[in-house]
Amino acid sequence: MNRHTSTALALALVAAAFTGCSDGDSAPVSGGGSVDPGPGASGVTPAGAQDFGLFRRILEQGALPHPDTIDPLGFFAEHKLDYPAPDCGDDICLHALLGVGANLMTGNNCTLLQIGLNSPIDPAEIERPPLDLVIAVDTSGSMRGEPIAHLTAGLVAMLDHLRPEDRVSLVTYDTHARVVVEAIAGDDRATLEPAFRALRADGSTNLYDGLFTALHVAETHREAGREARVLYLSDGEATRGLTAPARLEALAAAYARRGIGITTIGLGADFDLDTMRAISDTGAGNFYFLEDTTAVIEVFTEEVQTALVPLALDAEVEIAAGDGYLIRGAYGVRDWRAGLYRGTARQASLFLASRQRAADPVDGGRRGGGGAILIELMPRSGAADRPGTVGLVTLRYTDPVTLEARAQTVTIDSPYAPAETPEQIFADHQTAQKGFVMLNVLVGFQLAAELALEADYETAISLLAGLEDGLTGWLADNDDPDIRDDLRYVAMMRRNIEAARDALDVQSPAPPSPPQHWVYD
Amino acid sequence: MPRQLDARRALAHPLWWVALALLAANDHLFKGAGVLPTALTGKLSDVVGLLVAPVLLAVLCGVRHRGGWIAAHLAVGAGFAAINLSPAIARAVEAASLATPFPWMITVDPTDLVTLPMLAVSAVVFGRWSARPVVLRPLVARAAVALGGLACVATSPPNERPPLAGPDAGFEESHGNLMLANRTADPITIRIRPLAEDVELDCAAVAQNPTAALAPDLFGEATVWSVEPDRGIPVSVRSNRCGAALLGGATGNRLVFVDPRFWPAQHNPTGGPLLTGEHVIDVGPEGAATHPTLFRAPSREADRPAPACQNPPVGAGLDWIRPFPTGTRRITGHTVSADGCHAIELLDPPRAQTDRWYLCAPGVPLHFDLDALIDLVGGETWLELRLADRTIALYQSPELPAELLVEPEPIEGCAPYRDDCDGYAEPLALRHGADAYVAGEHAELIDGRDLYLIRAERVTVVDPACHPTPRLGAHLEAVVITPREFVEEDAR
Repeated sequence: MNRHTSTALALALVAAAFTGCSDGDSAPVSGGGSVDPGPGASGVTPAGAQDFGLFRRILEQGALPHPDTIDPLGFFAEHKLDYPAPDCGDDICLHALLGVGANLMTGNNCTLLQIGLNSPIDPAEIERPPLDLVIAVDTSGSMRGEPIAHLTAGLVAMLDHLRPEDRVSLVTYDTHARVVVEAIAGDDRATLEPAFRALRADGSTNLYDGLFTALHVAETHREAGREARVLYLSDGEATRGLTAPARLEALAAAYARRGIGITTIGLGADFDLDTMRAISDTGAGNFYFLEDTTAVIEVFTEEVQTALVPLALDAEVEIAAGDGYLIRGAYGVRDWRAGLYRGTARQASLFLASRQRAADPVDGGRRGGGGAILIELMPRSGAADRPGTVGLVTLRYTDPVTLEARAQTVTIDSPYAPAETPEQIFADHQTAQKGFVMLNVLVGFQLAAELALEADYETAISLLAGLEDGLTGWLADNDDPDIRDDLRYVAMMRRNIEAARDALDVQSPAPPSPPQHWVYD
Repeated sequence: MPRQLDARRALAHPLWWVALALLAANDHLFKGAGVLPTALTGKLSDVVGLLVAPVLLAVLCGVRHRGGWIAAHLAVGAGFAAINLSPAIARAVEAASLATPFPWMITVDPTDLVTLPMLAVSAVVFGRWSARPVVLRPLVARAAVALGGLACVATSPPNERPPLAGPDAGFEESHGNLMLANRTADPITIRIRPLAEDVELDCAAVAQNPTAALAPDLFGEATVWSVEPDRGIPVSVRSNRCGAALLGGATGNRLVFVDPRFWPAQHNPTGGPLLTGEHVIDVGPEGAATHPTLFRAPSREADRPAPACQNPPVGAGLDWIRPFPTGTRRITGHTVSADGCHAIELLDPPRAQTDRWYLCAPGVPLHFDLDALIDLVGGETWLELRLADRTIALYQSPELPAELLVEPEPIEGCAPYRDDCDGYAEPLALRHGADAYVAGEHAELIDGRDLYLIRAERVTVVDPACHPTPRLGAHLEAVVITPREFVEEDAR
């Protein structure tokens, strides 16, 4: 019991600092039950960052990442959350889970809604529309050697997943952009594979010319009923042409509005993280970081099959708080606009996530989890003293094939009155627990990175040590590959911060010395 | 009738010259050299200085009567006593001396007052001499004044500053605009992250709301201090410029914003009874005490400007590739992107070479006919595209056409905002006649030209590491399209 208490406390300390909510501990949770969604319950993920690979890479190199390096969307996307069976009758099913408990630091009521999406579509059997894929490859000098070799391997592996009706164009860019092959049939391996294998690296990096040319090619061949997408790869920052990152973002956003999505892939450790992530955010696409050959294959074969084809366009999740509640905040969404009573999360597109079950091993990489949106609520002053509706969650989107508008609504009721706080943390679904834990880890990483930036190493170490204890306790009762992997990186970050603390040069005013009557003026 | 006094005659006294020589030698040869005991060199400057200075002052004031002579001695004595008794006066004199080629560093030491009787020696000995019929060549008098003045103001090099004496004895000094003093009973840890050296600030604008204006990522690496009870550490901002630092640890998370005009950098004791005053921020068990320079620490998140107040993101406004192709070119290709950028293929006929050149003018309707000839003329921040039927002029601050050379005004209801480079900017409107234009608007000028205003904002914080035009002040970007007939009319 002591262990459980400390687990909850440790996790709560992390979460409360950021969200005001505490984490669900394994033992004192009531309600809910385990989930086996059965086959075909794929996750659904919003466009944007699909991993926190760069954050992991920096930790693995023994360094401390900047707080901005971790993207909540990307972090959540590396967590597979099993929701109830997707039997809503649509390609996307909306689920809203509830957790209620006391913030263990302040004792205040904490109500957390976890909103997830899943789909009955099996990625292996997906019937996607024909694809017009333009691959824009950075062939500047910095790509020479291993990076270009990894990239070629990934592109060649991707050929197995293309179909005869797909069309592929290849644009290379270094000092200038060039169209190498244009609108080649997906099964024309005789043309495409030599083009991929002939990639050579040289020159400077003209990011703008590369993206401009690729988008122009995509628009030239665009046809109704076909999915147009640019796969934009880079390992560096712009050194030639129009170099302002905002210029690339504006270009991506403008073409996203015309229905051409951009998936960005950062290679190595020197690419422009903010720009590549922002292009995918505004460009209705995904962002990946490829740290090694394994990741190249993971992204190009597994993810390309699903992530290039949206399940929904112009998606919007709206939360209307129940009579007794106010909205306090949201986590895991990019475009969140909210007042006290109503909030809306918008996503340019939603994609199928590749992973099927949370319990599946993650040896081949954690990408394709799907993620979730977490909404924190708080009791409204003067709320009725009886259980009621916590909120209404509505999903609206446009079907990318039929262009029909779709909508689903889920009502969430609580067995507790708004201001009533159960002695034990209540979760109506076991998956809600993993959502709490996931949020704790994210907040722990963010806080620790911020503290380390301010050289407050002791607080960061203490925070991560508490988080480690909490995660270890939770994992003892809940075997979860994602959280176990998270724990590994939490420990790694603590060790890196301890090393930074040991190397810190703490200054102090010089000690008093005996008086000397030596005047200067 | 006694002979009239003339202060200049005192300059002929051998004792004055001996004192002058000793003053110079002591300051520049003896101090710190180990030749003489430090206690001796310390007081020697004061002894001989009080012989040299009053005579010099009297000569400079042209004193010719006894009252003036006494007044000059009293003035020197009062000043000497003030800077040795009051740290505030000493610091003020130091600050004022920063404007001279010989900045002073003054050690406040009341024990120096034991040398004040030298004033009486000067008044009597040199006073008598100045009433005698002494002939002094004008050239010698001028040399004496020059040498005396130099010896009095050009004291020892600053790097030889010794430890404090007097009430502050035993405590090293630190140089800073402010001091943070540990007023708890235990050692405390304080972390200081100074504003990056190359970040430029409009001090007056930032002072309005430093918390909103300064993003956390503008600050550099933290220095960590361990501070014993009743000891102090300095907070320094950039020399001669306003600056800021993020404080953490025992102070709580705070932002300190300092304008050196009001909080000049100075030497302060790191302990002792003189670790007090307006420039000292006490840190107690509850954190840093209230102080005019302390503000709430900034958040990483910033409010987004309302759509009506927005300018293009930094770097996404008017732009073109530099250097641009020069000479007469033929347009062989033109592609316009969805965000208002133009890829123009320009053939250089003599070289038979085609270059792709980019021009971005979001929101401006530009078209280019194939096979048309074009001349590009311009500089770093302006460019004219001369075509057969029109001239397209692109302007970025500070190169602006006459119609943009009006004082831009703030837009009512539009607050300043953090830009995409962690800078801080205020949207502006340009008044043209009775109308005011904001970014994204188009004006038909009375002479037939079309003005497209792409950006109008005043930048008050700029980070050169990110901002493509790292300059404070108004940032305007505009395109003016002049039809051919008006170009010709202007030419006539």
